[in-house]
Formats: sequence, structure tokens, C-alpha cells
Amino acid sequence: MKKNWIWIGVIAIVAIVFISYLFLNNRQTPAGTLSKETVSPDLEQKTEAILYFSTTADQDMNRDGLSFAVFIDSAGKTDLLKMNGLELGSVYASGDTLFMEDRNNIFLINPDGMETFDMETEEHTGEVTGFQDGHFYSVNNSGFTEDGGYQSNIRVGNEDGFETIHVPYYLHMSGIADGELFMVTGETEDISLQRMPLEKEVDIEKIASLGALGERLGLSTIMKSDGKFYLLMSDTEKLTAAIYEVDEQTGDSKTVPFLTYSDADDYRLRIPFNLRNASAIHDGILYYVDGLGEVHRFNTKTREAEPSFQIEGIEESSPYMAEQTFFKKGDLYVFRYDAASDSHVIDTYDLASAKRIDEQPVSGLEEMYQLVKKKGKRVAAYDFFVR
Amino acid sequence: MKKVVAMVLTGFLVGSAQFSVQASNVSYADQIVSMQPGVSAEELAKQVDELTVSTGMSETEIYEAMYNEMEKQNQMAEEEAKQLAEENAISGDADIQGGDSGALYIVGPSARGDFYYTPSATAYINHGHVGLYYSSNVIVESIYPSGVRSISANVRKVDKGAVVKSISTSSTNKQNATSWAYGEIGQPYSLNFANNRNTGHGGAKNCSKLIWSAFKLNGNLDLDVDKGFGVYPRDVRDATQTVFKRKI
Repeated sequence: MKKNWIWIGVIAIVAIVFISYLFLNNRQTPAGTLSKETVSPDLEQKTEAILYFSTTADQDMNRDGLSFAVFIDSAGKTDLLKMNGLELGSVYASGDTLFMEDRNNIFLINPDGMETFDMETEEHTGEVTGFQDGHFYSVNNSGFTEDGGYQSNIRVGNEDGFETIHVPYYLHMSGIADGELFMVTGETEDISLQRMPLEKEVDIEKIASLGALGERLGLSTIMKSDGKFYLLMSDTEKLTAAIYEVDEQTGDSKTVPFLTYSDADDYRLRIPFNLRNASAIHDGILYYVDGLGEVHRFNTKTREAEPSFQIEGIEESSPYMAEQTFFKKGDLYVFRYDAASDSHVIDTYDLASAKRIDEQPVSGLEEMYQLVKKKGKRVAAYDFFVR
Repeated sequence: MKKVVAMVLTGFLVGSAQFSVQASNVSYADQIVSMQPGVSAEELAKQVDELTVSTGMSETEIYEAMYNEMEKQNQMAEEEAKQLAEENAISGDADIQGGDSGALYIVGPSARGDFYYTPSATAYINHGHVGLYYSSNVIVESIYPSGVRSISANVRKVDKGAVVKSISTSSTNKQNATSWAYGEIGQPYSLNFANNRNTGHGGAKNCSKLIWSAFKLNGNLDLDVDKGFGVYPRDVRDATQTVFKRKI
């Protein structure tokens, strides 16, 4: 009789272990990733940079797409936050708050911990994110009206809550500067540069007409400097790229030739890793980094292209291995896969001297890739933010 | 002691036997519904009922044909994954940066009227995904759950092994077909792949239906390689009227 009870006990233990295994295998927060309960109070403070990876929209067919915010500290160690998928989603930081989002949630991390906000309106195509007057603004190019028209949705809010406002356009290009959202919108016959203040009330003003869209395509965000807008657009028929300089006051525009591609393959390989972070203006020089890691310069005063430099470690034979770039003040940060060491690094370049001034190995991404692999998915790097 | 072990074993065997019997009794209709959960059994039954009239086939034959077509997609997905793994092993890509979980590539521009196919990892039925070039730079495609959308070719990322193909037809047909597809932006997504050849061209549609309808209505091209009840992305990819342009 005693032996029977021993066997029953053994079977019960085996059953409990099996059920626990199933539970752990299917729970929302996989081991090794952050949750509201496990976010440490110093995560915000120690985070020096954030990367964002996501599945594409077509991998979300069964609502099982996924994304990751990767928090990187000064030693290159990482913490992972697993979220739902959001193609082209972004990450941002302002003050002591980190901003992340997925298709139906916004996450804020500050010294008090992590807060999650459920969003009633789902998004599927991220565009650009900024911060103004105590509010985060995340623009998504993924909305529709009931009559089949397009609208872009802007998620606005802070730790007190978020809401969604609508812009009645598909955005060909966008950019945020000086508290305003700038966008290239319109039907293909006549596109135009427009502006709206980053406020909850949508108030759109046309700045300049840019003619028919033709075969033109934005290669970066819309930049603003010294009362002028700079739009970098390619022409995939002519295999060229030009800079459109638009005067803020008069709307007058000048087109300056900038790049020439040898053929369609060359163009395709040189599409930037992330259009949001492909260019910046610093000390009157417009810097643009292409998909082969070549940094091009354009002097906004003389309107002349200047000699460029090459980011090390990005090879033509294997681009798009999760490379990301980020401009901050006079530096260019490059996140890349280093084939020689089979690891990831963040390089820092001084733009003025074109010298690499730092190389920081990043560890811990293998865990993310294993989680992705387990789900039978693939993720792309979509954003990079350096504080 | 022996009694306890015997009881556990008996319970296990009886349970397994019952499960086995239940599995064999699962009808093709139930399996189709479980493989495309967005379409109800009633909705499917109604469509099959209509098909019995238009095709002269029995309900069972139709369900079986639909099920076989779905299973074929899963088999093709397995073959595709195996081939990609072999290619990755040869190139060395399998060993770097998370192996096959760590790389997506920008699809880039192509000519108006071209389309791309990407293997796309999906559950239930692994059928891949297709998108149409409305212009050289703008892709129009149907994505769950938002429906038909446009996206810049400069930012649309696809799996390794994706292909870009053109369609052998006149430029007028391409222009009209792409304009029609662009006009469908905002239409909701349909999870019905099993019988999307026979549903209306307007309204909700999935990715392959969008391209198939666009060229069926504009040029009377039937971009469905096997002409089964469903037009799947691989059916469009492998249609005889398509021409390979490049592989990603």
C-alpha cells in the first residue's frame, strides 16, 4: 500500500513538471526578457541606446508577429523587451523616459518602472516619432477611412495616457523638427510639402508644391536647417538622387543633383538601412549614409557635394545584416554585425574628421534570435536610438 | 503496485485510442476551417454548396480538393525551407547573426506591373506572400488585418529567397491592372484562400487574390498555375505568364 502511494506521488510530480514546462513554454514573457515585474529601477538610467527589431506585417497573419526593444548599456550588455510586431516601428527617448511601441501597445520605461498603454487603433506601418511639450508623437502610415481613403495616425501622449489623432494623407516622406511634423503628401499628379504643429489639434498648412511624383522616392526624413527644408529624393528611372531645398518663408525650391547610381542593382544595394536615420545636418553640412555604408556630404551653404568616407565592416557582398545608423550632434553611430568576430558592435565616427573614435561590442542578441527562431519567424532591425 | 501501473497504462492506451479515432473522424471541412480560422464552417459550407452546382462535383470531392490544395502549400513551404537551408549552408549564412531568423532584405524598386513573392513565415497554412508594384517605387499589397495598403519599395523588407517577377502582357494591361489594384486600397483582408478564385473581385481580398483579380479583370490573364479552387501566392508566382527577374 505504501509503495502505491509512492508511485502516485512520482506520477503527480511528473505531471506537475510537464504542466509547468508547457506553461513556461507558452507564457507571454519568455525567460530572459523583461516584464513589468522584472524591469529594474535603473534600466532607464543605464540605457545608452535602444534598438528595435520586428517581424514584417505579412508575418503577423495569425496575430503572432513579434518585436523586441533591445536596451544597451555602456558596457554593451543588453536587456530585451518582447512585444507584438510592428513593421517599421520606432523607439525613442526623451528626458528620463524611454518610448517603445508595437501594433496595439505603447510602453514607457522611467525610473518608476514600466507602464503599458493599450491602443484601441492598431497600427501596421510605423513612420516617424518625436517629442514635444511633454508629449510623445508617433506617426504611423497605416490607417484607412471607411470610404477606402488613406489616413495616417498619430499616437500622442505621455505617462498620463495616449490617444490617436488622424492626418488625412498617405505620407510619401515625413520629418519632425522644431515642434512640427513635416510631410510630403498628395496624389501622384501633384505632391506637396506640408506642415502641422505637433499638437492634438490637426492644423495642416501647405509649404510648397513639388510637382508630379513621377519615379521619385524619399531616401531619408525631411530635414530643416536655417529656415530651409532639405528633401533627399531618388529618381529610380534616371538612377539619380537630388536634394530639394525649399525656403520656409517663400516656398521657393531649388533642386541640386547629389548622387548617381551605376545601375538598378547599385541603387537597390544603396537603399539606406533606416530612412528615418539616414541623414542629418550638422554645422551646415548635410550627411547621408547609404546602404553600403558610404557617408556622403553636402554643404548647404555652397550647395556642393563634398568628399565622402566609408564605414568600415559593411561589405557589398552581405549588407542588411541588421545594420542601423544614428546621427547625434557631430557623431555617427553605426550598429552592425561583425563577421570576423561573429558578434555585433556599435561604432562611433566623428563626422568632421571621418575617423572611427569608438567600437563597442554588443552582447546578448543571440537570445533574441533564438526566441525568433523558435517561433519560426524572422525579424529585421527597424530603428536605433542613441541617448 | 502492479494494479496502479496497469491502470495508468490502460488509461493512457484508452485515451490514445480515443484520440486516434477522433482524429480519423475529423472531416475535410473541419480541417479546412481549422487551417483558415477566419472563415466559418457555415460560410465555407455555403460556398461549397454553390460550387456543387457550378462544377458538378460532390461536396466531399470539393472539400477534399480544397484540403489537398492547402496541404500542397504546406509541402511546398517545407521544400522551400529545406532548399533555403541548403543554400544558407553553402553560403555560410546559416551560421551568422541568428542564422535563418536574422535576416530580412529590402525588396527595392522594379517595373510597374511586376510583383514580388516572399516565403513569409506563417502558421496554419504556410502560403507565402505576394505584392504588386503599382509604380516602380510603390508596392500595393493586402496584409492582415489592415487589408490593401501601399508601401514604399525602399522600406519593404522580405525574406531571403524572395523573388521579383514580371508578367508577360501589354503595358496597357499592366497600367490598368495596377491602377485597379491601387484603387482597392482600404479594402479589408480576407482569410479565405481555399475558394478565393470563386469569390467576387470587389470587397475583402487577400494578397494573391488582389493580383489575380487585377490581371483577370484587366487583360483576362489567369495567374493561377493549378487552377484549383484557391489562388495562393505560390500559384501566382508559378503562373506560366510570369517571368523571373531577380532573386533576393
